[in-house]
Amino acid sequence: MVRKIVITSGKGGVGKTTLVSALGVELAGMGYKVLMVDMDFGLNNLDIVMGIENKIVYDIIDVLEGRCQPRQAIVQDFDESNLYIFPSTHGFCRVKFGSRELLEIIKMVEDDYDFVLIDCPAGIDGGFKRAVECGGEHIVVTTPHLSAIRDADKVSTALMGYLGRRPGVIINRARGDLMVRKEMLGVESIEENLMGRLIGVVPDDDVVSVQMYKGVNFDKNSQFGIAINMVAKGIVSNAPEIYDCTKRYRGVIGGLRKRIKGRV
Amino acid sequence: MKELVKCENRLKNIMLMDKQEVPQRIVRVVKAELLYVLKNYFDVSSENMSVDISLNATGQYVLSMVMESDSIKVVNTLN
Repeated sequence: MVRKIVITSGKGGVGKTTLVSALGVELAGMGYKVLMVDMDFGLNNLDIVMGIENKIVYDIIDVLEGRCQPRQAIVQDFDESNLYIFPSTHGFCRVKFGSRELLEIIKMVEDDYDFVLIDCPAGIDGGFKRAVECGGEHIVVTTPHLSAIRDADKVSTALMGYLGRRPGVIINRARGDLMVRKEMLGVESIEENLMGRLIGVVPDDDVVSVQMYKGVNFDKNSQFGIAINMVAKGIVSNAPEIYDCTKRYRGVIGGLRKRIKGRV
Repeated sequence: MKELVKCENRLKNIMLMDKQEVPQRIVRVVKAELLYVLKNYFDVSSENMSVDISLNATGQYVLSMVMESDSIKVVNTLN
């Protein structure tokens, strides 16, 4: 049975779309058939992150307005044959459709996939509500910054009130070196202040930015890749595996790494 | 280290401040529903009743209600 997971955040810029794409790549690499749906109408970026911006012919609005069938709008990834993207509209549009119409479209194609990952727009207004109702599971992404944690808590609380259960939380862009130096909130501090349940920690990794510029998939041997693999395994098995982002900054070698990172 | 403790305290304060903003709409709805139930047992109106939702020191919501009534409705309390 297909698992539909909405990935949301509250605050924009926390790495939601990057995580959606990374999880999609990882799950597809594990052999699952994955559809990523971009539900951010107007400020969408999943196509750029996946490097398919020149491959789009139709998008989700074309489907909603009856100009094509859903399968005509879905684009297959260049590198992962199990990975598909349902792109959002390119231009600004006044969205006249609600969650019911979006749900119907997803239902038309969901049986072809093992996972449907829904990239939800930031915020807690109409776009959020439309996306949230399309998924059966929900993940809130935050970073270790106060504003992001605050907004993630608001979203988690809203989701709890709406769904009656705590959403999963992923802490993205965690700086293990700063956490060891006690210059950034630790994972435990963040977890105890959030309404959701922690399902993953993903480190801040320059490799990701560089590869995004090139429009290629991330290096699976990087720290980011290892963490994403753990998150994906946790999602599949429903038993979270949490990456320790401070491990490589402890001990003698860790101390050196910490100093080098602090100087760059 | 001290900066981190300050940061943790700041985060807790921010979260508490956000929780304190209980929408008045919720207070009104809770009051109306409580009144609906209490009217079965007491002679009471909206003017004789007040409902307040606040936060305690540990961040839990506390609902306080004060109701004044001259009489109990005996018939509804016989069962």
